Amino acid sequence: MKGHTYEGRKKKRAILIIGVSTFFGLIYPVLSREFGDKFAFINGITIGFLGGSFISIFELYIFNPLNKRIGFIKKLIFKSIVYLIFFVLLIVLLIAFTGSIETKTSFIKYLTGEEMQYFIFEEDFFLILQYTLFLTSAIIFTHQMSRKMGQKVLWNFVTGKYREPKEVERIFMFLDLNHSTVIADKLGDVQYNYLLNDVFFDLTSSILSTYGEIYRYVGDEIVITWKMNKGLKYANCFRTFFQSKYAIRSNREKYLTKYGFVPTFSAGYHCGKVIVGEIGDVKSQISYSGNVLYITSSIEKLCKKIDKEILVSEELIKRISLPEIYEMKLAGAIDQDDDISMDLYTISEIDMANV
Amino acid sequence: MNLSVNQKRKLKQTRSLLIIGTMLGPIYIVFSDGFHNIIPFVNATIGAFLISCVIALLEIWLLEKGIRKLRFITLLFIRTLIYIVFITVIIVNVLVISRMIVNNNSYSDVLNSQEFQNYIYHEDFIILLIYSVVFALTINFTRMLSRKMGQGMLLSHIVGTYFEPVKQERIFMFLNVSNSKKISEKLGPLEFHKFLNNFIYDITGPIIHHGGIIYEYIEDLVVISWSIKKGIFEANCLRLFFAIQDEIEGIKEDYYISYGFSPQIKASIHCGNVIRAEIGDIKTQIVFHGDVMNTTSRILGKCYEMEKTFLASAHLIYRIEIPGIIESKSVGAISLKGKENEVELFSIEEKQVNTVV
Repeated sequence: MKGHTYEGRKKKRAILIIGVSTFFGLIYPVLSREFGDKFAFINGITIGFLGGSFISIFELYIFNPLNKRIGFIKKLIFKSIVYLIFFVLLIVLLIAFTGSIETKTSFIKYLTGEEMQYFIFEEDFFLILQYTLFLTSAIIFTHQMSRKMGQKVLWNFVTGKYREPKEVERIFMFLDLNHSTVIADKLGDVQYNYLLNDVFFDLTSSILSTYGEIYRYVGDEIVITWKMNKGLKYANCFRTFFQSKYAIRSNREKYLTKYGFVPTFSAGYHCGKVIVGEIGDVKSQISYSGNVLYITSSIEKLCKKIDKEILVSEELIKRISLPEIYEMKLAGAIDQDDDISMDLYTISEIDMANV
Repeated sequence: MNLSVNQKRKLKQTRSLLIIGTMLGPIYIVFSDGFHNIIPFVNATIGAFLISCVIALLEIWLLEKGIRKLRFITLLFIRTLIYIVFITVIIVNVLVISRMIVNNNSYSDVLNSQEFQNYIYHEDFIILLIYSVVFALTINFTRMLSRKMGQGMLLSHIVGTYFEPVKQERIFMFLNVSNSKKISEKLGPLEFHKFLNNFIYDITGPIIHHGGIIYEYIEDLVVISWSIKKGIFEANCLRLFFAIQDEIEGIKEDYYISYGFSPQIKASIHCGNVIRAEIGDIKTQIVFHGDVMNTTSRILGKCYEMEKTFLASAHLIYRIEIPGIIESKSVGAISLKGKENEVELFSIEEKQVNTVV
């Protein structure tokens, strides 16, 4: 089965965070020039590793789902307190633990002993605490920003991957909310915005689990893109659409009570060569350009005209091998440039119960 | 003294950088030395202040142009390297001078004294240095990221200003290169992208200097927005168009050499109520929703139909005090596609300034 990449992503992210923090844990004794002291290294690595694990668990698994419902200041205060308490306890207990081994005294005795008091009030304790807290906030900040900017966008900016424009082959999907103008008029601006946000939230995991990348939101439209191999594999790009449909369906009661209807979508698919590159100085965007995007957009518009849920270009159909659960039908044609017309197909799920 | 919007912006940035930078000095001392001695506090404050001055000078007043086109990571390293040099020099000097004052010694005496050598090579100096470099790196990274994300966007994302949708009245300008379709066919997609990127780099300066924020790029279209107050002030939103024309005019030879032509621009401008909100979970965007956007886009279409370079709606023109150098001519009320109400449009031109006879 096509793995659960949403969980997979979290795991990858957790490993990255733990790796980075362990690295910085190792760096500290090097910087403070305690080369001779092997316990300093053990302490550093352990604090880094445990700290990283705590951050990952806390940020990715515990706090993440709540992220959206708490204001910034409250969140800041709450997180600061949690991390402060955690790191004070971690550092003190760990230093006492390794200290007790080093000096061969009991743990409690060392913890309450004079050496410990000296460490806390006279020596490096505050420096270590400051170091860990600073790095913790840096890690959380980077994680949050990277999440906000979208998959790999931050990384691509930093490494300058698309500094020079490149030609790449991609699959594109324009996913559009049906009857959006009517809905917008009925709900009013603010409510409409809430609706879009709810929809985009509910779609996220369907998109991620099928390896789609969200390119941009244009009004009520989401543009999703796949690398060829990822989109073709298991017909992932089509699965995105059907999974999104189910995601909305399973939340239908929420939509019905909040907005009085359940949203439906139409989608246009096409693939081909586009130029990808970073554009702009202030407000940089990694942007795709090329005829493929125009064609995909007009395929999507045709969906509404001929009343089909999905329309896929011949180009993409030729390259994809459809799993048994889907069937395709010729549904129309569209003029490509130079007056060459291209066939369009619609995809639907087979009624499994009747097989 | 009369300051331009750009100078005001720079002064504001300098001020906040100085305040934050200077505060970091004493904070370090609180954590490392405690409260028993006043001298480290004075040293740290002076040191941090001087370092912030250097950073502000470099970042805000000197490095604004020129090396911006470098890779993010290269730029980050170059900056950090420059910082390390300056910070080391400043810290050493502040420490030496403070010892000169306290001990009443000469500069070289302090520098060569056992105590100072000891401090540099064996004590806290290296930690102090690392502390400063890490902060410099962090500030740089954040500033560069903030620039990439667009004016004010980073802060809005962090604080969640638009987490709940906000109703705002704003001015929008849609600007693009005329005949872009032809240009793109002539240059091919790869060259066209490079051309567009160059063009956007060149117009970014004027946009910022006129207080506009770049909302987004849609293919060759640049969407610029102002709060009503900033846009109307000294007719900034109208002046921007001519400033961009001047900017491009000044470097038209470069364009001609690289691409075989110099770009001409067209723009439309309009104002009204929009919703500004954060949207999306993974990949969050702060977006504007509203009819104003569609109308502005349609007015841009009219530019092509009527062969005008710059059209503004009556809504906006009536609110702006139009300076003498700019002329607005009504081109009649026009019903826009899909709108019941008619919108009166004005063509905005610069007055022909001839020598007075």
